[in-house]
Amino acid sequence: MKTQIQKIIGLLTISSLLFVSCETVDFGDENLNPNSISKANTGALITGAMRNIPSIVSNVDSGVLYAQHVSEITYNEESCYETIQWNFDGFYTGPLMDLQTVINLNNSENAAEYSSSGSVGMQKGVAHLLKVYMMHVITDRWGAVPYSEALQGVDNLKPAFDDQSAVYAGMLAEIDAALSFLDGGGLSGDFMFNGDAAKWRQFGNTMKMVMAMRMADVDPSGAEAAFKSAIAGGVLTSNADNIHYPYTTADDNDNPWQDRFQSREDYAASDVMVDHLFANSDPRLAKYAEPVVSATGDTSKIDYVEYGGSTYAGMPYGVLNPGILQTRVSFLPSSIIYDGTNAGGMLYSYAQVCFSYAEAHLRGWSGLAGDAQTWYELGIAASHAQWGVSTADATAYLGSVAPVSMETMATEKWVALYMQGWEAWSEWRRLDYPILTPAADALTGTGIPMRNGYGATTASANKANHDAAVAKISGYNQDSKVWWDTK
Amino acid sequence: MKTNLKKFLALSFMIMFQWGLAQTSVSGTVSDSSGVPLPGATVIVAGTSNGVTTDFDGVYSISASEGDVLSVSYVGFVTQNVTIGASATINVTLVSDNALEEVVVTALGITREAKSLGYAQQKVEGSALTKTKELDFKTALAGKVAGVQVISGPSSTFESSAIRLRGEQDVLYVVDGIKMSSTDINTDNIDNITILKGAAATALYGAEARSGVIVITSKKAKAGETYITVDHNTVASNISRLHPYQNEYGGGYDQSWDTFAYNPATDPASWAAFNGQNIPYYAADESWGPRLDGTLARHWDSWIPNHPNFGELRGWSPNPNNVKNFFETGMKSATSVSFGKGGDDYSFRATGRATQNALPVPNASRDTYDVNINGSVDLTDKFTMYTSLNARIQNTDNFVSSGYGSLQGNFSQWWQRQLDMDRLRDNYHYEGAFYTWNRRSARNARPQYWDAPHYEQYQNTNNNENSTYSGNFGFDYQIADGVSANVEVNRRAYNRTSNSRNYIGKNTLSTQAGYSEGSFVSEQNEFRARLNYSKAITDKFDVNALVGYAAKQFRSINTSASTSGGLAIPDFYTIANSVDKPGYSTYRTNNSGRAAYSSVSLGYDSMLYLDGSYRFDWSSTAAADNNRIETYSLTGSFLFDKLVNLDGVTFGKLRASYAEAPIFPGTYATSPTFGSGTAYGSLASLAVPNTLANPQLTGGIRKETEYGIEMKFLNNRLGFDLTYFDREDSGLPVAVSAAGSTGYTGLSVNSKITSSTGVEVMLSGTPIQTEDVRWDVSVNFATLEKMVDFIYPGIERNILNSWLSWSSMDLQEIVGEEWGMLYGRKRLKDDNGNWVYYASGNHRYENNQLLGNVMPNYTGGITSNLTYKNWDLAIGIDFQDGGLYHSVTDMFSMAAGLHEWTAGKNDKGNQKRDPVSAGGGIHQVGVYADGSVADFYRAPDSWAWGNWTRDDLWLVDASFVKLRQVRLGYNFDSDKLSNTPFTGIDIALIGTNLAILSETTDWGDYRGAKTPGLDPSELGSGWSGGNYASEGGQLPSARSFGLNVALKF
Repeated sequence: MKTQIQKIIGLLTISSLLFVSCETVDFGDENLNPNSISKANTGALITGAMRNIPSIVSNVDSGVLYAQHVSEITYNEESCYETIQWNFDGFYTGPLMDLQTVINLNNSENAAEYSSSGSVGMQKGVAHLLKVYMMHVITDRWGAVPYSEALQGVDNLKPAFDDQSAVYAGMLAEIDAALSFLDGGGLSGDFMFNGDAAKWRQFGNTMKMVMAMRMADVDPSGAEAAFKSAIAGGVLTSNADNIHYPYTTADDNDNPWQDRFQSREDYAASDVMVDHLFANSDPRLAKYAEPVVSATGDTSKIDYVEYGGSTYAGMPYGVLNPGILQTRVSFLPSSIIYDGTNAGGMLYSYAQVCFSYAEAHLRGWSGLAGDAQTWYELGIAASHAQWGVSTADATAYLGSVAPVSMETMATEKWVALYMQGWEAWSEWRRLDYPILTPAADALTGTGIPMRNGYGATTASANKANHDAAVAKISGYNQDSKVWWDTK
Repeated sequence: MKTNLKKFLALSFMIMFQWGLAQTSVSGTVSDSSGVPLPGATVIVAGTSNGVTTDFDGVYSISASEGDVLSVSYVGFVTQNVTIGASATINVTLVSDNALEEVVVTALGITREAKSLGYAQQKVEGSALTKTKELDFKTALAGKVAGVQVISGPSSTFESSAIRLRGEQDVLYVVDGIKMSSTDINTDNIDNITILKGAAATALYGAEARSGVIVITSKKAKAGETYITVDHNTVASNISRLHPYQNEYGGGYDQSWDTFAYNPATDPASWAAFNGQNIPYYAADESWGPRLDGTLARHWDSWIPNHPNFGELRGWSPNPNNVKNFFETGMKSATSVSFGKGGDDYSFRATGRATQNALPVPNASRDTYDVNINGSVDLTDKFTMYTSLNARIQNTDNFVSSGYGSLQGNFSQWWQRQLDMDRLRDNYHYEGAFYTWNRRSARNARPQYWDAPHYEQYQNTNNNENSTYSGNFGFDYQIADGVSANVEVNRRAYNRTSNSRNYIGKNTLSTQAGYSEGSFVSEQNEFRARLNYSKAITDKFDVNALVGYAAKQFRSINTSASTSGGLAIPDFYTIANSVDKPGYSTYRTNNSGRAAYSSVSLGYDSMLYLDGSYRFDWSSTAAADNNRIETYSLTGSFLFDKLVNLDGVTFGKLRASYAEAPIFPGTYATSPTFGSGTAYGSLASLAVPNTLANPQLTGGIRKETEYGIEMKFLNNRLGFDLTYFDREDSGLPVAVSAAGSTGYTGLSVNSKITSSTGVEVMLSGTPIQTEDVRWDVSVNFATLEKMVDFIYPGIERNILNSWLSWSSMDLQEIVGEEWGMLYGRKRLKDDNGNWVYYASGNHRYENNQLLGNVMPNYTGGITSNLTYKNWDLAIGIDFQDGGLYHSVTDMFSMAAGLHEWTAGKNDKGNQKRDPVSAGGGIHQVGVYADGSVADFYRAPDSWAWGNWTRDDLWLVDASFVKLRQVRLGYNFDSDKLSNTPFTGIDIALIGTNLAILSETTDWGDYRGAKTPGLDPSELGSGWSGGNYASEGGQLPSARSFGLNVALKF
């Protein structure tokens, strides 16, 4: 018995000692996550990043509202500028980081591992262009934002906010670099242009042109140089070149405007737009708004107008608790809310390009083809064609339109940028025409917002840099203008 | 001859003398401390073999002399020595020593004497948990254990409660050695539970148990007993507390009436008669509409074609009970049968229980079936085998969840107060089409925002079936004297399938049908082997030691699929019927671990104990080159009442313990990957995850120190147990929130340091103890303060939950503050405490302000058990002070004009909702930004919509005192049942969730008194998840009454 005990104790002690002497136990592959891949597929990262563009071009958070293209029907707080703080984190942690990863991987020594997605040049070029596209929207919304120090992960936990002038300079340089990378070596995962380097060049140069015009008041010479360089590189040349996000009919990739109208009716064409179009007998009225469902009842709050045999009414903009039934106002066009593959998701249009040319002439920039009036008319015609107005109607309208000037050009551009929320708001801030009245029931601020305020998470997570940036702008709210907005 | 006679005579004389002395008969009664006589007690004259036992009445009679010592003893009592004096009658009272020799189940199922434990633990008898037959184990525990805070799930739903033990939620539940989920425990089968609170108590379990273990021991048949028991209860529950609604104004956005305008071009000719009739604003889901003064109007159901009500004009009148009318009486009935038989060398018990539970919410029900079997056999006198098997099968129809957009959200946040619930129930589905109160207009029956509430409950159905099978198998072998071995394997397999459908029909809100299905399968297997050694080295010194090994493995697969784009063939709910490519995802988890552990306990003279334990754990979830952690503990206890004799003190113990328990990172946390996104057509999309993974993530460590003192007085009639603990968690792996512009919102680092301290007190006493009456009371109380000491260099805040409200309110950890701070928008006050207003009349506010801490200051409970002859009355109360959450229900019920505060009279005596120019409105007093005085009246809807985003308006102080359980029972005497087949009958009336005895009844600002609404002790997890910081829409609480009958054969 005693020997038995001794044996058992001995055995267990030895086994325990064995375990004790084990520093580690080999579990093999057990902790390798089977649910996701650990090696990037850069093409798929680009697809993922591109899928974030709808949240920019078909966005309803303030762009279309501040430009007074669209009105909210029942819950009008956003039209009345209720939200001051907007969060840009989603851009940085989402598509921007995906694109930066593609760039980093292609710049690393293992770049060859990612060649199945396309050439290094195409991957880097397209990634840079998409990055700039999104940074452009970000800086036009918030002003000074992290740019040069951003997207470095744990290497820079508190990125500094670059002044907008520095961001613009950086972005223009980045576009030039990107354009030089585009070598036509194919790119998988590119559902926008299918790896077509020429189209990407066109996209990049049009973007440069738009950026150049933004800078026209604060840096006229720099703007002119960038503008000419863009034209030399090749911008959009007709409506056939229009860059519209390729929505599908399948639910996963359909136009967000469709989803918004699936069971709710919260948005309508604004009275500002409808009344303007009606006052100018603009045939786009029938394309920008739907006829009202029932034009009966209280007319004290709504302006009904007759056009082309139908009744239209814009939803009064910026009135809290208006108490107006949805059926009494004009919805957004069914081409957007029920189909949406070809409308409501425009990145850059030919009409925009024409108006930029017109403006360049009005500013007296030399060495450009055509003249202000011609480009102005081309822009108007392009916009009409874009929205499906017949050539006859468009020509009739052109005959009645006032000659080109900064004011008329700006107003026509505002109309042409319908549903291009962020562009419309930025251009209106810059050009200051048409004259828009701030919301009657404004909840905050002193007028139409001139920028978005920084989000609460940035204020707490990056406090020092955030506070430094805030100190540089006149007052912490949405009334202070961004760098390129001089008046 | 002569000498022999002398000797004989002397001897006889001595004998006679002795006999003369011995023949003094001493008698008396031996009884216990409550006066109950003890039959069969042993009375011995000390030092002799002269002994007797007491008779049936506890009476003894023994021959002894004055000066002798009588030693009186009885099993379970402390032996008493009494010196015989002049009196021939000596009555002896024996003190029970139960409390001292009490045995407790501790870590790994090892039983220890309670007196030898150096750490805080609490034992709760199974009968204490089943007094009112609650199905949810955690709810049954409320108010019974010091240091346990129970956050009840809404009691009119199936949501289970949550437990925080010393502030942490990752408590382990172990039933007979098998790790179980707390929702799978059959409370009726519990014999007792031991709550091991701190790291020292749970050190033998290793890393996963550091926040506490609830060790549950199932009922087993005892030697010599044979029984069959049948237990049945039926309980009815009804909604007990509704949100305070106003009943003065009906649905709409303003108080003026819209009228019908007959349009001959589009309306039928018969509608000409409707011209001019009052038309409510059906599309509004708020109640700022016309006054409920009986004006005739065309209610929503007067537009249903071919309906008898079509065209009917009815009074616009209050329906104060409409929400209450939606709910029914919920019925729960449970029947269980158990049988068991035990002998000297075997024991077998089996029980089966069937429960049907229908909620007060219509069309929601759950069936649960439990089977628990256990048995053990002593194959030889050294070898015992044991096994247990448990099964639980559960089927739930229409699990009702909390959160924004839920049913409660409908009734208390977006509703029209005049609606008649009976008409809704009868007419929402008529002639194949659906009708809602929220129609878009008189002519358009499509809903604006809401279907009828019955539609949600009866058409958009969901179903959930789950089953848990668990069991163990093991043996104990007595190798030699004092040396034994135990080997055990156990397994738990869980399987859940669920599905839900999104129905569409004529006039439904959703126009795209959908169906989703999911399945979750998990299994866990464990193997344990242990060698025990127990020896008394000297008669004062004893040693207990053990050494053991464990291996475990866990796997799970979670699959979900959903249709996309609608159903190709209507009403055919299956994934294959999806219009577009269905969404599909699978998530797998695998992890395994190994452990080697040992512990040594030294005891000296039953007075001083010293324990130490050490455990190594290896886990697959740690970094491969560094996957071992060590957990150790050291505890000591000193029973000072043995050394120092204090009057009235029957027990006194001082305890101290220290433990270090490291933690492993979560599964796959060290394995960085890319996240899959939605594809574009046939192109897959990937995304860089928002949290930067750290391949070198190591375990952090918890260090916990505990001190305690336990004392009992007055023959154990009064006792208290006081514990102080101090815990520091450092190097914890944590996803630290980073500025988004870095590209990541979170980094996985090992840097967080938090510390918790608290005091736990348990007071118990038996104020009354007589032959007929016994009253036991216990009170427990615990405080907790958890502080965040450090997060990461350069980071002072970590966001735990963001966007809890529409104003970016979030729950944060902040260095130097208590854990769990709500930060959001706060109305601005100037330096003199005046409210500051915008020109519009809205409160000025500041963002990112501290709103309050979500953790309570203290929690506790009172349990009382009173028995009088055959009657028993048990009462359970639990309470909490502090704790904060944000209520979306309060917020939207005000904004939508449903809350009673938005109607009624203002301080001028006029209706608040009268126009401000006519003396109505809510009085606002303060200053404007420039310092000028602000004194004006604001229409309630403008006030509500202008201020709803100021988060400090909607904070709820969750302090409460709750009468949770009452039981009144009668137990029949067994001799009265001798003519029946029963050996015992117990009937009881049971009630749960009876009343909130105390709660916050003031808003804390100019709004004044607050009528209580939602139950502050209940909080659903549907909005802020496991942090319980915010309520997004919650079903009301329900009160239950029922009857329980237990029969024993």
